[in-house]
Amino acid sequence: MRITIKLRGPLSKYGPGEEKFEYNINSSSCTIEELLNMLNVPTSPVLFVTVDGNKVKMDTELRGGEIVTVYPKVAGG
Amino acid sequence: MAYTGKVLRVNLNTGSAKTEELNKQWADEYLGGKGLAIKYLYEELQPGVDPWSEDNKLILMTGPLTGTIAPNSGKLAVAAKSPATGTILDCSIGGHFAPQLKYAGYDAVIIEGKAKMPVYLYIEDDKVELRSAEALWGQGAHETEHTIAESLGDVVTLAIGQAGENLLPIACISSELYRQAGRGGIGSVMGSKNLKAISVRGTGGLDAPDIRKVSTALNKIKKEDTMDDENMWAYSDGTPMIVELSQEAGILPTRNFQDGSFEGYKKIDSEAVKGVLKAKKACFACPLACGNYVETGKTMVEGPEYETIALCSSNCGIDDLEALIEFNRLCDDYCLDTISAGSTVAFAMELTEKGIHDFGIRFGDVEKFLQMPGLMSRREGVGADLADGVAAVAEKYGGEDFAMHVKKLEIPGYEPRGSFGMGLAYGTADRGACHLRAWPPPLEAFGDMDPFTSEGKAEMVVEMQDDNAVKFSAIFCDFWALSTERMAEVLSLFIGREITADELTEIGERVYNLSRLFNEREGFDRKDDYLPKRIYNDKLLSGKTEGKLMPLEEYEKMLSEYYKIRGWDEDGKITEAKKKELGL
Amino acid sequence: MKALIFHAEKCVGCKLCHLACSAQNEQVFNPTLARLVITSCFDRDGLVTEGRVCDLCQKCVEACPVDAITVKNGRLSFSEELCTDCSLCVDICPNDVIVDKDRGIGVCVQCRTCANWCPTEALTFEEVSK
Repeated sequence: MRITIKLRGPLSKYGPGEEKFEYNINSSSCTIEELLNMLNVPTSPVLFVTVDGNKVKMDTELRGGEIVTVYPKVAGG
Repeated sequence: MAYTGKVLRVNLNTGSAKTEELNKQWADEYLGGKGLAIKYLYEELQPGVDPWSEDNKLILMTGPLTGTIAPNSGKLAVAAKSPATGTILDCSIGGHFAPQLKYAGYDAVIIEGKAKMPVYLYIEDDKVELRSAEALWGQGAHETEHTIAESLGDVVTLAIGQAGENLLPIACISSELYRQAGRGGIGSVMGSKNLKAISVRGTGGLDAPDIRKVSTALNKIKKEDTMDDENMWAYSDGTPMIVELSQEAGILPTRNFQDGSFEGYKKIDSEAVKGVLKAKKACFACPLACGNYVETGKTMVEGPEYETIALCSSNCGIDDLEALIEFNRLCDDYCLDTISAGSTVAFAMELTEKGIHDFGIRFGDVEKFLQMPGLMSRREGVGADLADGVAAVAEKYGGEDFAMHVKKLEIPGYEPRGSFGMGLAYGTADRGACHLRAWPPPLEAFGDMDPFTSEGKAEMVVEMQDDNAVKFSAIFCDFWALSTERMAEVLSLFIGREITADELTEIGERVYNLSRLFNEREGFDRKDDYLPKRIYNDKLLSGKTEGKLMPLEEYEKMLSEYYKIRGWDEDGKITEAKKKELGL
Repeated sequence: MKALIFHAEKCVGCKLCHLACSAQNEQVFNPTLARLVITSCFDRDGLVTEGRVCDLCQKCVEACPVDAITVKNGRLSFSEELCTDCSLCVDICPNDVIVDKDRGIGVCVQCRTCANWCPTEALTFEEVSK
């Protein structure tokens, strides 16, 4: 299935370079955690992940066609 | 080794300056920066002092790492008794001023008294002069800096604008045009002393034992920690990254905190800012370069930071990025704290729309919005009423329930009804509503803790406050997320002895309690640690936090638990046992 | 031979290069003793980022009357024992990056410490024509 991924900020280096890119997954379902593993994105710098604008848990299943945005940790304010 | 051992004391009444020894015992107990500045103020100020009188003191305090190659060590603590709140006030300003002071030979500057005529202070190594600022008085901070640079060359300058001169409780201090010591009216402390600017150049240097070993160790830390994925958000985006995070969590202040979600957020988020980015900018010794220098065709600023976006854009119903940048630039020039200015303008908008008092400005009115910094700073037109911040406006016209301040300091950019821990942090911060003492959103609204409960929040806020207190005393920049273990490792390289993470936590607790003691002495207690009634009574309107409010009982629960964990009594006063434990 | 190149568009003005240079070569943290000068400041027209580095033009080598500055292994080398403090090298350096000290001078020795510390690769080491 095909999804759109946005790796925000410093996490973009785990993708092709651009923050936003299309991605093919060779299975009919995939969790967020599995997706990050596939991309070799370490979990420690990840703040949270949204699917179509909604914050989700790591075991959330993807079906195809979603926009998955991965946000980095921030300090301060 | 890490300290020059010298403090410069300037008396503006007599026009004299003398050097005295740094109090080494206090430096051991409080490290520097925030903690050491508060200690000096606690010992030297009489309770009840008028913050705009000549008896208030302005302290510029460096830390043991200032001027070294320790990453993120370049900031300066600026402290005084706050004219806005009457509490202790310490601010943190970046840029390049602090190291110059250290190279000139001083750990700190203490400024006392009041000059008869406007002056500026010029420090170049041993040479200390008070020069006439009569030609500068009435100018903005930017013109002031440029003019001083033209006569003195490459000095670094702290300056105030018209807001500080006119004693606005929301006046700040600027440096290098776009860096601020922002809150609590710190700029008006300089204004009340007729002190227009402070310029410094230092040509000396700092030794360190086995400097190559130190440098190697720090380069390793820089690469593995400061510049790792967890900290590089600052370089990639800077604080505007937080706009999307707050919008997602429903805690982005919107239309005077009536809502936590703003429909126009995409026009003011970090991608919008990157669209006008010209260059990244860093403070001294900082590899993160969080600064975003932006230029549109018509205006420019180093910014806008998240707080400015939250309080001046979404909070004012404004989604015009160029207008925000211009508002930011004006505030930096007049020297207005953007959090307080944005909140006051938003309050005026709501009062107008509700028919309580007509300030002639409504949410989203870009034209009137851009007139506000000038009118407020010069106390002209509607600015005359708005100049003193939301608490003063509410006192005169009403709307107290939605005057968004704690202890008269305007609330920053995170909606407490969507982050209960943040609410507790605002209520218990030492200088009034502040997000820099404890910052719960990463664990709460952006993290896994339930944001809508009091559970576990008191413990979290206490730990964050103590950690930040020692962080700002050692002087590490807020934006480096480092553990107390790492702080200890870096400090141990410079202070001539091994220091442990536990000792640092103890110092943090001591600093935080000392600031509370200062406030207690000024008459503050539990009654002052509450939030505006809007938080307890009004439901948020839309988005992820639609319908949410914070019941007062939940807040009371958090507050009582907080005092208990702190070792304070039910009234929020430090117990004798706790004072003894910390050596206060 | 390789020398420093400064890329202004990448510079963030952090001064880590100055600190690294003075630490490595003078054993102190003192930006005024660095053998390069990089500034990033706001003047009336906006942000101005400028850098002056040693490009191995070797005019100092030619100018030194006592051969206190020489080229060894593609890098400049300075001998404090031979130096007579005449300051001819300081005056002749077209990039004005030789530090005039009380005793002797400070010249870039192509040690690369500055480039190693730069967080944004605004300083690189590349072949220069000489």
